[in-house]
Amino acid sequence: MTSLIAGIDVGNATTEVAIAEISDFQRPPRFLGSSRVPTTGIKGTLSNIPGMALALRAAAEDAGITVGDLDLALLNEATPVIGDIAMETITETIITESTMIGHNPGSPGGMGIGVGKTIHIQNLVSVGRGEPVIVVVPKAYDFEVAASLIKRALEAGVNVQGGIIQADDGVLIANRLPKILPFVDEVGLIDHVPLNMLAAVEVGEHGQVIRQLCNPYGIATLFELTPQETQMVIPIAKALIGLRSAVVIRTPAGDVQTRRIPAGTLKLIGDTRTIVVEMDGGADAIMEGLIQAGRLEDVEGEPGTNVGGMVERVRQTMSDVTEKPLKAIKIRDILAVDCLVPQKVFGGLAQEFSMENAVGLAAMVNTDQLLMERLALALAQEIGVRVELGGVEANMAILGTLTTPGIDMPLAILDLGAGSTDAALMMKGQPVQSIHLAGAGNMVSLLIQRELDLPTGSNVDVAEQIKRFPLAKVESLFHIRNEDNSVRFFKEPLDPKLFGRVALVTKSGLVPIPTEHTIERIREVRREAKRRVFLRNSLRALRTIAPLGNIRNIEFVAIVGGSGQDFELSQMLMNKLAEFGTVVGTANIRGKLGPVNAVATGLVLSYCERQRGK
Amino acid sequence: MDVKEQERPSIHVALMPGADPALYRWVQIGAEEEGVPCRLITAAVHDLVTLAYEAARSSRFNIGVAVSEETVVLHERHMPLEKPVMSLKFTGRADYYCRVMGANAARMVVRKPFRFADEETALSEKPQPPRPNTTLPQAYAVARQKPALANVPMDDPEQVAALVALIVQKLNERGIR
Repeated sequence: MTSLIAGIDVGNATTEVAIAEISDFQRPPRFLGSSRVPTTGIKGTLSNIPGMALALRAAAEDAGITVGDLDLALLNEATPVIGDIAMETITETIITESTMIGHNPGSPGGMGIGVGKTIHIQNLVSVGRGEPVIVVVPKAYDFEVAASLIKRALEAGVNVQGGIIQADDGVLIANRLPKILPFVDEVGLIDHVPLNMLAAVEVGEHGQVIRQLCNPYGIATLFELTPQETQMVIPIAKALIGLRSAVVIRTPAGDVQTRRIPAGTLKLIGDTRTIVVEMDGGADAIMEGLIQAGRLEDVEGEPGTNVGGMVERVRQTMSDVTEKPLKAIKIRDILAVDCLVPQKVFGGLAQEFSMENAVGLAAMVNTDQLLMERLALALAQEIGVRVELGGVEANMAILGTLTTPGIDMPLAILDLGAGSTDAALMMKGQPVQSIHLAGAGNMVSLLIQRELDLPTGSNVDVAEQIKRFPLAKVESLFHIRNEDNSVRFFKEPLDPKLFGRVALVTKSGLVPIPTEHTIERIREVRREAKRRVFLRNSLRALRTIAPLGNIRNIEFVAIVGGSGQDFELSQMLMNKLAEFGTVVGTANIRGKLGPVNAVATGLVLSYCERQRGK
Repeated sequence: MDVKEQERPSIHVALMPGADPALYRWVQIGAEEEGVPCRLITAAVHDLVTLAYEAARSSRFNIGVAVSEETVVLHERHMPLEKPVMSLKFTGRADYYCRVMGANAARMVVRKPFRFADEETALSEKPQPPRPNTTLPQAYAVARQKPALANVPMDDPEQVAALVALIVQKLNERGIR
């Protein structure tokens, strides 16, 4: 008697199905089809049903059968973990009086540093000879008019030192003057620039950034500040680092400050100790505390602080999903990652950004079996096929991975998913060791999104795309330069919309990235995000399952999971783990599916094994 | 060829008969913003696109611009003759379009992304003071900008259309539809 069996694996990001025909339990099952579709809703909830049904249909079609032909569907026993991520800045720059304009217009005019009193262009005629001034030019003044007014003032002996311009005319005005002066342009809120105040304008040389105004002592020199006052300008200098042009205006009541939002403390309750870590200490301090705490039982954030809010949010989400009371939600693992995120300066004049410290947290809670049972019941009703709970996810993943050609036990697997990084170790004659850690693909996307300040809330997640595809710069209408510096030519001219942009090389062609960042910066952020999440977690996971806690005792590691398909991650892992003398490779489930479908395949195999035992 | 050897590289601009000669200056200003020189040339061609192509062929940057009474065209030597890089029809102030095209011609040389006229018209005609202290997440920022646009007096239907196009484009950029 032959029977048709489907294994279903609901993951954080995708739902995978494997369908096999079993005629005799003594022989290995014959796999007919498989599928992979996006998971609907949060893993472990009833909203997964449509995705599961879709995945089953797709796999059945692949196998040349219908869902109704199935005799049994297997669901992994308990999705042991659900992850969530959050990020919060721990510092913020606030300007209570308008005192600085520091920004990066595409093309500021002239170069150098100028110091003088700010004066409206219409009042230039009434300025005395030799008095140093900074001209303020609103949009209503055409660049030619403005240039001729400034030129006449210069000729009359007014010491024009530079200018602040509302329109994008900096270069044009600068070019029309007899001497080289710095002009900062595209200053939106020009009416807010205080007049008759001492100001400094700096434009960096071509291809260089400003030097004086991003140096607290530089500002102190220009404005003759006291040591106490110099301390006050540190946040300004910090916000101006790396810009091509900037203006600092000294207003009597001016007050800029970096407000340190009370970041709070994180209480890590472990089975050996309870550790309290200051968030200010950054991610390393948190991860250090985590090691000391031993096996984590719960995490608490200090109430009334950012981290308190963050932890509560995670708990709330989890409580909503699992329908368990808030108190019953226990956080079983966290991954903290430091990052620098651009934040709009509170009270700036030209939409200034300042790089602020932030900590990203991925957290993970355990779910109970009840949820999966409920899910199995609902699925059975939906498709009209008997649904059984299979086995533990880690064991299933190992069984599935063993279908990779050339693999044998003892074997460790790293399951790099979207929500969690899991590892499992199987040695002959010993139970499978496994661990689930918070932080995986979704965390990488979040880091990329925040560090590059990409638009959020869109259907097509730019950060997700950047994570997945290599970059290229469109250098002409006929060729692109890939991120490895190789050049590719095209027969047909490219879309002018792509010209000069950084684009993603996807299967369906080039997709421009809506950002001003350079290709090098995007690449660096992408790789750094993967390093900080996946490499760190992989080492953490392998250390936990390795015999004697030493990764050197693991000889072979196979990578599975959706993030295993990443175009650079497996190489990064291979490089890192080579240090431990460990062989790392990407699994190839059933010799053809690559790193995906391991759990779904394992479910079917384990069912066979259990039947054989009977 | 001799002439070409001696001359310093520049973007070549040609005017169709009937085009306002002052428009050349606007193309030049656009290119100046990006720091690239321009030169006015003449060619005995009576088709706008072909004229732009001829201008591109004679330029050592391989980039040419041609202006007629109602359109400005940007061409590049390696493009197929009938397929100019970009063509803008004047739907408002011609000087503005010429300036944008001049900037784009220069951007081809310095390899910066192009400016597209439609995104700028609304902005340049209705300067919007950027709102300070938008510390809200970006999604909110978008929502907040809309009422701001609605506040400006809109008697001119063309302007309304331009604004709507701008908003739709911004939304599309952010992937919200």
